[in-house]
Parts: sequence; C-alpha cells; structure tokens
Amino acid sequence: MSARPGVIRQALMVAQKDLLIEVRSPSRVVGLFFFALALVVLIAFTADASPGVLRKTAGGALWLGLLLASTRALDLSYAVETDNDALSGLVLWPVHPAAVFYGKAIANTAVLALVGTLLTPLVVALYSAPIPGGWPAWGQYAVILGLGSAALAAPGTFYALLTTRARASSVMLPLLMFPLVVPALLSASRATTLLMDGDGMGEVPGWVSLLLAFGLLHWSLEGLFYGSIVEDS
Amino acid sequence: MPSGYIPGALGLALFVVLVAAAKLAGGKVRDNWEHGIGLYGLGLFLWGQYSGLFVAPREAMMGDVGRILYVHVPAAWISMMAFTWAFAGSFGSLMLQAPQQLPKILGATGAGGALGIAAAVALDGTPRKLAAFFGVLLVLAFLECLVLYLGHRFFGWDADSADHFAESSTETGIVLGLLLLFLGAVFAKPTWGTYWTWDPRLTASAIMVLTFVGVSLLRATVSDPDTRRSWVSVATVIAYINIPITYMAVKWWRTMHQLQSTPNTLDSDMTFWLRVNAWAFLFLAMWFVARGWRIAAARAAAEAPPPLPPAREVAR
Repeated sequence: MSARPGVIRQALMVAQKDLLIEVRSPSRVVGLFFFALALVVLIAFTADASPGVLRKTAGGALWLGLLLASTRALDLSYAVETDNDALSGLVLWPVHPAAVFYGKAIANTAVLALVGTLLTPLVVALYSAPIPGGWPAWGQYAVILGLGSAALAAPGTFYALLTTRARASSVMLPLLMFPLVVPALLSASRATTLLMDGDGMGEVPGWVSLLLAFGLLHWSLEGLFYGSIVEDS
Repeated sequence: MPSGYIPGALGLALFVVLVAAAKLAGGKVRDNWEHGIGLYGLGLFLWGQYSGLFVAPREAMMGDVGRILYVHVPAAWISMMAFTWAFAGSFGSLMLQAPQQLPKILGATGAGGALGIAAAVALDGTPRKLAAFFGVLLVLAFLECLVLYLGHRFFGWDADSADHFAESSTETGIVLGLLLLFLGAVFAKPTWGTYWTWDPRLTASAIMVLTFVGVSLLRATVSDPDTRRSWVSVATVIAYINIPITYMAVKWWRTMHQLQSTPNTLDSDMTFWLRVNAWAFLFLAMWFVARGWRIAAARAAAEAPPPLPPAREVAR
C-alpha cells in the first residue's frame, strides 16, 4: 500500500477534484458569470447614468456582483459534497480536515477569480471605467482580483459548510458571511475604484495590504477551526 | 466630587460576597444570588440617570442634548464588554472540550507571556511592539485559562455551561448594541443634522451587532445540541477577532472623507456621573448575563432526552 500523501498534497488533490467538477460541468461557471453580470447591470440602473458617477460605482458593482455570485458558488460547492454524503467519505478516507478546507477554498478562489476576469471587460465597458496607467495598473488590478477572491473564498468556504446543515440555510449564509467580509469588500472595491478613477493620494497599496491582512487572518483561523466543524457535521 | 470608582468597587465587592455566599450557603441564595447584583445595579442606574438629567452640568457645546452621553457611552462600553464575555465563553467552551489539557496550556501560555513581556522590556522599536503585542495576548490567554481551570475545578464548568454563558452574553451584547445604535442616530440628528453619519465607530458597531445577530440566528437554526455548541463557539470566536479589522477598514474609508471628530475633554463632574452610569450598566449587564446563563442551562436540561428506563427482565 502506498504512503498517504502529505497535507499540502491532499489539499491540492481536493482542489483538483473540485476544479475537475467545474471543468466537466462548465454550465456552472457560465451560470455564475451571467448571475454576476445581471447584478452588475442592475446596479448600474440603480445608480445615476452619467459616466462620472458610473466610474465611481464600478468597483463596488464588480465586487458586490462577485460577493453575491460567491454565495451561489459556495452552495454549489457543497451541494456536490452533501449528495451521497461525500464529505464524510472524504474525511473518513482519511483526508486531513484542513486539507479539505484549503482544497475547497483554493478551488472557490479560482472560480471567483475566473468569474471576475470574465466580468472585467464588461464592467470597464458598461461603466465607462477604463483602467489608465498601462500594464503596471493592470498588474495591480490582477493582484486585487486574486487577493479579493481569496479573501471572499475563505470565510465563504467555512460558513457554507455550517449553513448547508442548518435550517433556512439560504438565508443563514449571507447573514453570517456578509457582516464578516465587510473589510474585504470595502478594501477590494475601494482599491478597484481608485485604479479606475485615479489614485491621487496613492491609497491603493494601503487597501491592498488591508486585503492581504484580512485574507491571512481568515485563511489561518478558518483552516484551524475547520476540523472541529467537519467532525460535528 | 468623590472618585467615580467607589460605586464600582462596592459593586464588585458585593459580587464576590454574593458568589461566595451562593457557593457556601446553598439553598435559595445559590439559585438567586444575581438578583442582589441586579438590584444594586438598578439603584445605581436610577441615581445615575436622574443625576445625568438634572444634576450634572450642561454640556458647553451641545447643551442638554449632550446629556444623552450618560446612556450612549455606557451602552457602547458595556455592549463591547458583553461581546468580550461572549468571546471568552466561546473560547472557553472550545478549551473545556479537553479540560485535562488546561494545566499544560496554563504553563505554556504563562511562560510564553512572561517571555514576551520580558522581551518587550529589553527590546526597542518594532520588535518591542511585536513582543509586547504577543506577550499581552498570551497573558490574556493565560488569565482566561486560569479562570476556566478554577471554574472547572470549583464550579463544575464544562463546555456546555461555558457555551450557555456565551449565549446569554451575546444576547445582552446585542440588546445593548441596538440601544447604542439607536441612541447614536438620535444623537447625530441635532449635532450633525442627519440620523446616520457613517462615523467609523458607529458604523463598525453596527457591523459588529449584525455579525453577532448572525451568530445568534445560527444558534437558533441548528438543532443538535453538541453540533450547535461547537459551531456557535467557533463562529463567535471568528466574529470577535474580525472586529478590529472591520474597525480599521471603516476608519480608513471615512478618514479619506475628512470627518470631524469630537474632542473628549470632559468636566470632572461629568466624568463622575458618566462613571456612575457605566458601573450601573455593567452591573445590570452582569444581572442579565447571569440570569440568562441560568435560563439557557435550564432550557438545555429540558431539551435533553430523558434518561433510559432501568433495564427490566423481558417477559417470557
């Protein structure tokens, strides 16, 4: 019998499994993308249509769309696990609980970042919010997109497990997750808006470091606690 | 004016006497000791509120509107304190899942905390701040574990009773937090001309209350008691640790927009009445929490399945 792979390898295998499911049923990512797109369009209707105002709303619209799409993505991410009680099977294999958490969080980060990437040209066009400053600015944008997706994915992956087993789960996930991710939403959308609307005072690095701090805190805390949650579910 | 700490010191002494009496005397005192602290708090509250309205000097800038201070500020302090108790209870519930480990953890956190403080004294600059931060954190963990160990040893606390404490603290914190937000809006209207100013402290408090409302609803939607205990404990710990980062984010967001801040220079008379009211809120909150703790424990006992009937011989 071959040796059991280490925790990091296990996490990557779980991520690979989740991403393989996404690749084999691409309609899910496409559905998420159109869900987020519909939100982005609807948010534009609620704002003033003049380009100056839209440009200031663009970052918020993008991240609000991604946040709401993420709740759908997270429900789907656990729907495949609760069918046939696959999660218990995974934990009994035994895959380390932290590996399950990090694997699923990595996969959810990738899905969110992909949806965000697909959404970007549309937000730029619909909100007339081009990103000035050439490649360096786009590099910063990519960093914000990646960090922001990761910052939403960790608490999401954690709380989605709790709420799939709770009654009234579709209400519980936003109730638990939204107040918690306020710092991530705030810093990601501020940084994005500043990139699009001009960053006169050089505030982007500050917001990015706040996003990073939030991400590090939640990726470590929730990885630590996931074991006690999974065992009781 | 006498020191504002005297009513607090008296109340805390009363608390110790009542707990000791409840432990030693038993009987009626054992089940009702918290009413003593509650009545003391209520008396302090009536005295403090009356004096805040009619005795304390008028605020120089805001006039009589400034008197809302005697409810608003205590509500802010004590709701934060109640959420801290909730955190302590939930953290304690997680620790008490393995109470036999507590002495070992006490040694580790105590040694680590002492080392951190010693390093902070010896070092300078950024390393000093880091060492002080982690040292203080470890000392706090040490104190928490000490309280848990003593409570487990002498009062029979376990993971469930710590969770019941967290439950009632969370509820008390939410009530005080909602009072704080409502008063904040009432306060903002005459001073800033709008009900909501997106002031960083008020906004962060609103998010904090929302977070704990979510945690409280999670408790209401999970039916299995053991699952509920561990899930809610973890959710409370995460919600509490998230507070500073939320405050930082909201503060940055607002400082970009230049909001005025109020100077916190108070007349010594006003400080006295503020302290009296803060103590009153503290003892009332202790009353609510202790009573709620008892109710939560009773509810859990009522929910628990009845013991199996004794085995009988099967009729032939």
